Amino acid sequence: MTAPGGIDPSSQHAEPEAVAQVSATRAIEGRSLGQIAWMRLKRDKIAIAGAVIVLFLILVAIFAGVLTKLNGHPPSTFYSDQIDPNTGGLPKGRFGGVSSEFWFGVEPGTGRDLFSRIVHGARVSLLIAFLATGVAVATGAVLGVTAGYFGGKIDRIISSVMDILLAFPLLIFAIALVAVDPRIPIPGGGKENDLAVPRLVLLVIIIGGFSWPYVGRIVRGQTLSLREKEFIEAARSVGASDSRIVFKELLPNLVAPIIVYSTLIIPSNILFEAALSFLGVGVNPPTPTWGNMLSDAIPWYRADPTFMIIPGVALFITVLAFNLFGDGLRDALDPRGGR
Amino acid sequence: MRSSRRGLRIATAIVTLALAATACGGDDGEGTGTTQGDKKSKEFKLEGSKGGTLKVVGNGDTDYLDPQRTYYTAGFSIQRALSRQLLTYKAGAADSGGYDVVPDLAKAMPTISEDGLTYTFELKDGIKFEDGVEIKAADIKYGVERSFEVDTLSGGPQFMSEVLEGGDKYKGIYKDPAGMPAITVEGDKKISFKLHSPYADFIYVVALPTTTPVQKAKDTRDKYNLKPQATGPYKLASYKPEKEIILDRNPNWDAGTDEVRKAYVDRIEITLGVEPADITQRIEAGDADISFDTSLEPQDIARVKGDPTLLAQTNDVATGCTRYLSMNTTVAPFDKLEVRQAMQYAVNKETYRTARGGPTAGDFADGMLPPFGQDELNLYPAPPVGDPVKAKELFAKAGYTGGKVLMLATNAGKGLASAQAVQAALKPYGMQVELKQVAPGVFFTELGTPSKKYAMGIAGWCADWPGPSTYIGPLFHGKKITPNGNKNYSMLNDPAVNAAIDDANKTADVDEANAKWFALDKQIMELAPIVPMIHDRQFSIHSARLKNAYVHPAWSHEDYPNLAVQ
Repeated sequence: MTAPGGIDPSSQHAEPEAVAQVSATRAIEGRSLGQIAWMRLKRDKIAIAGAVIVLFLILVAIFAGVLTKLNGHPPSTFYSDQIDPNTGGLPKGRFGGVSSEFWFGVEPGTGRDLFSRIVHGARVSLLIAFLATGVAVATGAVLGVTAGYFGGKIDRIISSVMDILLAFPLLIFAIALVAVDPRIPIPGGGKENDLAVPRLVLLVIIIGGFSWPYVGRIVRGQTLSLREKEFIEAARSVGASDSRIVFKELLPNLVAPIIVYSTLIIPSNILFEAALSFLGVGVNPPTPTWGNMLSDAIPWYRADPTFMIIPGVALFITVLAFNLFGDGLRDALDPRGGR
Repeated sequence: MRSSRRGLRIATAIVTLALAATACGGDDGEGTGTTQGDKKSKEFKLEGSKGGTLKVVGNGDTDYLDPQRTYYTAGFSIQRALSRQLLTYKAGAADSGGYDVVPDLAKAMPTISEDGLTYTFELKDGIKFEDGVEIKAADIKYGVERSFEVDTLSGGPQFMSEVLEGGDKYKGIYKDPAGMPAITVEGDKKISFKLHSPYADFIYVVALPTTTPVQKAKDTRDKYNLKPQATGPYKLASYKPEKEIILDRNPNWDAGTDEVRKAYVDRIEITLGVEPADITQRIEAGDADISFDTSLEPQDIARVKGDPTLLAQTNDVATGCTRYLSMNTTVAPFDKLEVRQAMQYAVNKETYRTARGGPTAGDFADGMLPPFGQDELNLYPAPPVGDPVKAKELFAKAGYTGGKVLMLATNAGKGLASAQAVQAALKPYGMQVELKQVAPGVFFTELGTPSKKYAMGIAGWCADWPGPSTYIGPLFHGKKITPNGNKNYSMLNDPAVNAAIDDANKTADVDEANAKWFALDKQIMELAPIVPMIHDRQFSIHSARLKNAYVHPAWSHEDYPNLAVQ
């Protein structure tokens, strides 16, 4: 009854798999699933390394403002004295203008501090990725459970929507949606007074809106197998309502796959945001994101490679760290899946 | 008239709005330290041998191949090879005769009636279309009448409808086959144009591709664009939109009738859809000769300047275009004169220019008009980085304390980088510039829709011929404000300015007209609807084997029929 690659929910109700045999002086101690998972995770050095990096990045993002106070360079200020107009705006210093004052060098053409832009970029990139993942997980979980539990017509409709969304040429559609610049009409005001949807919100909705079917499909599959289980039958036979069964019986058993899947779609959402920014439909300038930094750097790859390497490496490390952590988490929560 | 025109040897270009969006031009500026000095006046001679294939690579397609519809630098370059007009420009750079208008299909310069209203041209004998049929005066009349047919044949310059008598009423040759009464033909070789009022620059209107002859029997209307009849030294061999344009020799072109075009190469191959960075690399590697539509980007400048061999393969010329920050005078805070004046000191032209590539991108501007020999305006004396003290003073005088301002910008490259330079410069004054990004292709459509109420946008404008007359009229006349396709981006509608523009347009004497345009430049800058940023320069590279690779000032591009390859 285990879905491929998923987690057998019955494990929670079966005898704990790893019961440590301890010395006779102490009573045999049962461990919760969480404790077991944490024990396994601790043993996975690579996953822990990923987690440390993720934690570090989150701290950098949160304290971006403090970090730029340290070097005293706001991310959007032009430092014209750091670049030479006669060479097309190349940084004066070596390696893209890296110096004791400008730790990662400066942006050619403008002289903006790359360190400040990277840390502020981390804030925007991670914020969008996390929020979009939240949207995706919430939507995917609710719709997936609904489809799986109720079945029939509801399942067919929701599954079709998921299939359609999965079949869409994502990026092209997302670009089109961002480009239409939707506006919210304010009652009483004229058309000109319509409220523009902030880019960040728009990006979160679009990225989240396109990633929920991945969560939805997994949750639906899990629900399909769960709803035939004895404990659900039991709940139903004592007259539990549908909402009680969904929220109290089904969802707690779906937490593990949802968490694992969240950590795995965060990096893909970071990349998605980077791709949109790269294509010029991300957040509005001068707000830095790693995607628009990379996009700006492309033409300079011969003249000033540092400019491209820095956001590229940042993006690479982040995505890798999230993936390693996500893999480790999956292994810990479900040792039988995958390997 | 023409002799005085020679005094205006500076710069200008036929360039269009479409071009202005991506790359436009400026002027022979003084004191901006360009590495490659402007080519000083010198004896100019075309050189080279016949044969070979000219290889051109480009990113985007031309606008139209139809001679009456094209209004784009690259399009004008192709017309130079493909077609002939009553008058045309001499071969050469800005300082070696390129500005001089000479007879082409016409035997001589026109005879002008006493009242300055009627221009009469006599045609040379024995000039043929590509199918061997001799060109008649009626074919030129037909061609010009096609240009009025703006619904079917959109896109081209509309100067004929502005200056010819009854031009505002005539609807075009398809709708009104009787023809345009102001254009009269006598026999096969004589054609006259009658204007409603004297117009100092009419010979430049005649030198536009608008006067290319078209055979009525061969006119396929909007499909003519795909297979125009050649009259020049080359004919269209193949045209695949967005992919390639191939020209080869026109056997019915007679070199004896053409003093301007040498037609050195046998074939011109234009490959389109190539990425800008790739274009530069192909030219440097010798796989291509020139770019169709791109110039050196900021990231190439250090490398090219550092390599004497590459530097010898470049042109660094003023292109006659002005880039300016347009402020919408109908939208707060720019409805206040003091705010607009404060902007003249607040904007940092230095960081703006550096974001576009530094000194090779252009020379700092203080008015709309590039230097045509007039005095500097110096209305708002400030260094290129601006004058924060004066700016603060004027903002305070206007009672401006800050707020959000919507600015339109293109979504990539230099356009976005330079818009951010303006954004950063205004931040200290509390002006929060919100950048709305759009693709370069729709930038001017957006900015030209007044109902969208963009407060700011950086526009570019290039003259259609060498002289100050086409900068101000289309951009600042209140009557030119339209709901779509508006070019008066600042929405300026000042009765005194409108009257002065009308007056200058009707002035017959060139020197007098120029003086009026110079005065208008000052009059407009006193109202400060724009912040003039730079007069554009073009820094472009060509292959080592290319001869006569001057940038022709009339359309800011190389002169295809006079390029030779070894």
